[in-house]
Amino acid sequence: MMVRIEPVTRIEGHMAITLVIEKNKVRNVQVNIIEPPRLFEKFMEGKPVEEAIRIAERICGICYVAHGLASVKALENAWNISPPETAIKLRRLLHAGGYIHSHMLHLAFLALPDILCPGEGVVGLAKKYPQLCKKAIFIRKFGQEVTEVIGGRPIHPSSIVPGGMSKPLSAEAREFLLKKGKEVLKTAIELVDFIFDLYEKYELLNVYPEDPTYYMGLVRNGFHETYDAKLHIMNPEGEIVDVFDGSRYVDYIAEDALPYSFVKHPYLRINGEKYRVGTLARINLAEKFGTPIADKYFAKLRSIIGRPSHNVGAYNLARAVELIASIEKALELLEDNQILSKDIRAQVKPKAGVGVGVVEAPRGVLIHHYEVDDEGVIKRVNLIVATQQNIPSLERELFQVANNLLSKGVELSRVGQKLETIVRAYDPCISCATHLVKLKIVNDKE
Amino acid sequence: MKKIAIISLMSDGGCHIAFLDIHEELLQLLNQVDLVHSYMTVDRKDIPYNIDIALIEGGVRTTHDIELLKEARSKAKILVAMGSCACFGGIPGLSNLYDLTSSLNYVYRETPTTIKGVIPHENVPNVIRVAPISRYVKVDFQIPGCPPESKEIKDALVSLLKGEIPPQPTKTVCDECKLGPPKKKPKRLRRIYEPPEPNTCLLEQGYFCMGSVTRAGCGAKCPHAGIPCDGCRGPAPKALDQGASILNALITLAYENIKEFSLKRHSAYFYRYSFASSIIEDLIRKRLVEKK
Amino acid sequence: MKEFKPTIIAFLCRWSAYGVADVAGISKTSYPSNIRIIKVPCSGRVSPLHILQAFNNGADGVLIFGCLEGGCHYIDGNLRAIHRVKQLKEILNIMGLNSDRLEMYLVGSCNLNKLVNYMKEFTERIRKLGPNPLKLKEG
Repeated sequence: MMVRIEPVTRIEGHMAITLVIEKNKVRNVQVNIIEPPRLFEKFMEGKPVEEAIRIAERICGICYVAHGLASVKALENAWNISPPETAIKLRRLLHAGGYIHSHMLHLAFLALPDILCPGEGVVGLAKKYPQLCKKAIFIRKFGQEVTEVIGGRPIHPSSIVPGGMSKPLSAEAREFLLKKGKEVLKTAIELVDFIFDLYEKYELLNVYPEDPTYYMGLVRNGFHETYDAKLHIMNPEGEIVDVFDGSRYVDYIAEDALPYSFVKHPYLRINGEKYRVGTLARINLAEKFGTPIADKYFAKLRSIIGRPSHNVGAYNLARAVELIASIEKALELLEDNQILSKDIRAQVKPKAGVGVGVVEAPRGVLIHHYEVDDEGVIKRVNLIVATQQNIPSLERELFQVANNLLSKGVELSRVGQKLETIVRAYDPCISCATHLVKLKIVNDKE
Repeated sequence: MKKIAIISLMSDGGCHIAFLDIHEELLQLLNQVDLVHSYMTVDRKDIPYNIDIALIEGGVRTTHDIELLKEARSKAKILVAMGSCACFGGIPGLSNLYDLTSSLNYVYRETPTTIKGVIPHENVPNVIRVAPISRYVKVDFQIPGCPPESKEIKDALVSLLKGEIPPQPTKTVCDECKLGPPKKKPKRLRRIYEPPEPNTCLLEQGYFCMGSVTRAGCGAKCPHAGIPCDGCRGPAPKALDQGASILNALITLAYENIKEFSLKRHSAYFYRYSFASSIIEDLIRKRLVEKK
Repeated sequence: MKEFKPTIIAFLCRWSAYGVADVAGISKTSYPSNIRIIKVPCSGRVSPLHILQAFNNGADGVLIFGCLEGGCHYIDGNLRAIHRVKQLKEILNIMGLNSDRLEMYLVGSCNLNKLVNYMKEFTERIRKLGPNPLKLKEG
């Protein structure tokens, strides 16, 4: 029989799950991504590449900052531009704002309801835990305020330009953000403590599957990094097996298209293996964050999950630690006086070329690859987005968990709920992934 | 309590986020209305009956979208197009300038990293031309923007819940912008990789600023940040077709300078958000249907 | 087979071509009846939207008549119109509508015969091209 869960809710995007079940055993799992494919990679052709920045941001309504940054980096790579230091700092600050909003959104609205009020979503959480919601909203609002101040708008910022940023940070705005940020950090610590406690109380890590995979992510001299560094690959045993510059990603990452999903499945070219990206990958790959409070939580997390951890549930704990780190990083950047400098834009001259821009979006490695002609008009685009890189492992895990539960006699609708929580742990961003699945448990009559 | 639903079609989720960006007011709102469907925040999978206000986020891109849309229309008293994708087709509308089959071929078979290529066809809906939702159902109200201002979404909801028609902006972004209006003709056209002179109208400096044909309501955030308006809020009340209007204005200002016109290239400026609802789209679709 | 009579929308500038056409009634020279004349204060008043709408509504051809270079009452309205027509021809090509269906002539206050000849030539051109393919899709 076939069973279909559609749509998977409380994720970003449209996904369904199809399970083909025969004699109480799962024979096949399809993650059908039915998110309408907008085909950005095609319609960006023929456009002036500097316009790609704002266009590409619309790939995602949550991680638009990451797309804007990956886009401008690809452009600057093609045109050999090095933005001034302050511009990079402003970009890092903008990126931190994006992480704060995205991670807080996930933890509070997408993940916590599953633990605290299953089946009731955010509405239930707001009714039963209003103070918790207020704190989460307070933190997330700060992320959006940072984005609005640095980026010009809270959603789909416009100030990222070739060569740097289009507007400097004013002293007043900086004072406002610093003052608020310090309050936000205090609240975030309370929230993260709460989350760690919940995980311990309900032994939540036991509830999620372990799936030994490879991991990929940015690391800079052992430090957790989201803006610019070489890509690292870690094997399931925890060894770093490859380090490479993003411009050579085609040598390392391959994709297969599938008949049943609008999202392609990436894998490592070298050995055909699946790999994962995102918060867990970054936690596995990094030695430290470099900010005191995050590093404290990081040590605590390591002591709970080890290294490398393959537990899907650890994604959320890693996310919580990254939330703290993002706030601390934002404060650090705001405290740096160089952030007020007006030297924020390098000279730019278009030329023909190829460029690759790699950043860590909140959900994982994000790659923009552009070929442009001598007028700076795009000839060809390739995108590797964060979430698609996790879909192959997700499918495998859903297969394992579904079989496991069915063999224990768990009833089908409970199985469905369970599978959805696993999907959610990845915080998949399906709009990105369709540049990105639907689990369909298809029941035919027995 | 009145029932509100947010139903998403082809979208990036940004309008959902704009709605959540009312921040603290969200908690109050959730006490006053029954949010019965919202894929990002509520677990209910089906679209319930007797919805008072349905906000549709996203445009139409697949046959599945049409089904969802029609279902929402039949179950809702008031149907609102929220965001520029629902209202005009949005940025993905640019895809309509490219042959669909070649586009699918490129994305699913010919990118540098694709090894096994196949165009998805199993258990997935059919992909069709991007369209605003008004092509398929009657729309009672529009809240354009990419995304709309959070306050706009909330104010519109509050008015509609009271049974009133929310006020619509009557001016253009140009009216809200401190830098304009343009005082002289641009000497040459400029692209945004060149930094602008401060405190001077961007259109006057030769940038493709869409402010004069774009609906007001955002406070001209982008020009104030040093970047020309790209028209994300859709056509101003008096500009029937955003692209044709700006083309008209630009010719008036700088006709010597647009030497070569390419729809694929210049649509990035003139029709970035509204191509799927433009008269050119209308003309292309008629040809396509006629070809059969 | 019914003979195809093209429907042509012609925008005539009131300072030149329109005045010329206006005397057609008195002078016993007539312009072709398939030409629908629209008077505009200047050829520069014709917007891309007007032209596109004309085709969208089934016109087989669109003509614009303006003043001679240097002769525009509003200085350079006619020059802007020339550039608009150039852009629109490209748009028409991209849409698969033959760009020869759109034309602009600078005629000034020429004599009526000249104007009528332009109209007849254009009508013949459109007759050869056939009806506007969009018209068949009405309904």
